[in-house]
Amino acid sequence: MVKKVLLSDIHSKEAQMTEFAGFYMPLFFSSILEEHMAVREKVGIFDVSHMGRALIEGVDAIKFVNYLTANDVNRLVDGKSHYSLLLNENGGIVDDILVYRLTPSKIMIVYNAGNREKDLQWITTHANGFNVSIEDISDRTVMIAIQGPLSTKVVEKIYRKAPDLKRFYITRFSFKDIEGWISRTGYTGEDGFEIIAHVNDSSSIINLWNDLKHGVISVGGLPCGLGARDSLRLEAGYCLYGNDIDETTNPYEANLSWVVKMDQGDFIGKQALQELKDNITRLRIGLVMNDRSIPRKGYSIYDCDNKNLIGQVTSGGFSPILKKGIGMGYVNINYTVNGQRICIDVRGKTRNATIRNFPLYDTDRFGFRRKQ
Amino acid sequence: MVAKKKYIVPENLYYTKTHEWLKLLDESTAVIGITDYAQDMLHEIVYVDLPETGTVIEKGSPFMEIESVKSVAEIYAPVSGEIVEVNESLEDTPEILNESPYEDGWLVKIKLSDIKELEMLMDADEYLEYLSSL
Repeated sequence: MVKKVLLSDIHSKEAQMTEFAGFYMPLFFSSILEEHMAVREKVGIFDVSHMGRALIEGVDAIKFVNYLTANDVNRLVDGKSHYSLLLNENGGIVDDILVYRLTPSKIMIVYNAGNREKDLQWITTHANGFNVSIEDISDRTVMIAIQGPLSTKVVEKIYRKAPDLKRFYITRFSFKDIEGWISRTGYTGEDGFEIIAHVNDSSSIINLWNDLKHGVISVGGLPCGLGARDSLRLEAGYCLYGNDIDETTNPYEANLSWVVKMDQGDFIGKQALQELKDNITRLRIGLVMNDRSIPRKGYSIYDCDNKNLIGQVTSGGFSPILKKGIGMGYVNINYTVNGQRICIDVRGKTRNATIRNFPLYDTDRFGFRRKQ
Repeated sequence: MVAKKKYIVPENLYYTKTHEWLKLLDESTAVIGITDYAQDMLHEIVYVDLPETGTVIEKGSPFMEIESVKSVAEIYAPVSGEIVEVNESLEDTPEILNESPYEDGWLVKIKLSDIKELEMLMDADEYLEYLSSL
């Protein structure tokens, strides 16, 4: 049974729809390539209401989330967020999430659509002995992402102080009859905002979407679907759970060791990580095709010289910025140097690629660190 | 679901269930391409992996690939024959397949080995009916 988000039926009038993680979502409104470029050069608006959102409240909120996640919540001030991981006892990745410290006793977690039930169960199960309440607010909120160098111009129409909101910070907002949170976060590599709004009546949410969409279009941007969201995150080097990370991958081999803070108290998986840290055999890398070809999930990676199997592609696609096939995958630790030439078996044909550090685009020209 | 789109299906072409079209140029040569429906399903086409001239193709077997931002598609030979010409402009401008699937975006020209195989293909009316059943 495919689930709809509040705006699914509105989108289906103008977008090509797809099923993703059990949700009926826009794949593209006009063109994946144009939507991708709109976000890199101007701005794009995405409905990402399929993402899971939960509030963890209580006097033990920080203590609990610290035990639950691999990053150190004590490093967050009120109104700040960070990327983090839910790990299992073996150090495998249960999910990758965003943790927002709203107040000292209130934390919001945003998790992957496909893991909504699993995560909620995981979080609830491990809350034993902590004074917290856990509430999934996904179905009574919507989540809208405004991404790209012009995103501030759009968002300041509904939140005047948007230009002052720093990267990874979150704040309450109200606009007309809508209330919610705005954070300066995203999944595209660009500067941008994510808006989580409470649903009181659906017509005001439809109005919010339309207001923001018209704002985006008026500065030359586009409404975007999950197709562009995927190609944008792939260029930036962000993992897609289920493809690039899962319960069989650990943070070290996933090249997410920067997320793990071992110099803090106990957290689930910490003990296993101590063992894993110095024993990794493979590493997640980025790759750019030299031949006219697109790597796709599951393709084998070989040493070009001796034809030994050295890894596998976990995500692939076409980069509108590089105009080349790009991908993400795991390779043997001996092959992870930037510039390393590798070969990929593309449906029986050997194709040439080069290992490249993420982001795959020129960071002077694109992304949130671009030179103005 | 979205209302079904209207796809262009020109008269006087032959069609396959795998969404290729074939146009007879004379009694032994034909040009092959993909239909408007096929290009729309693929969405933006970024690579066309053309076969070499002289390649012998067999009815119903894949003989080349087209890659789009979304996926990769194998193209099946509507009839058996030998490739005598390929549309090389697709290498540098694959997007013409999206823009003009029946004209500028043709794929290959072939010499037919058995003209009777055409009888097994659909005409425009049959293909339209097939599309509406999808």
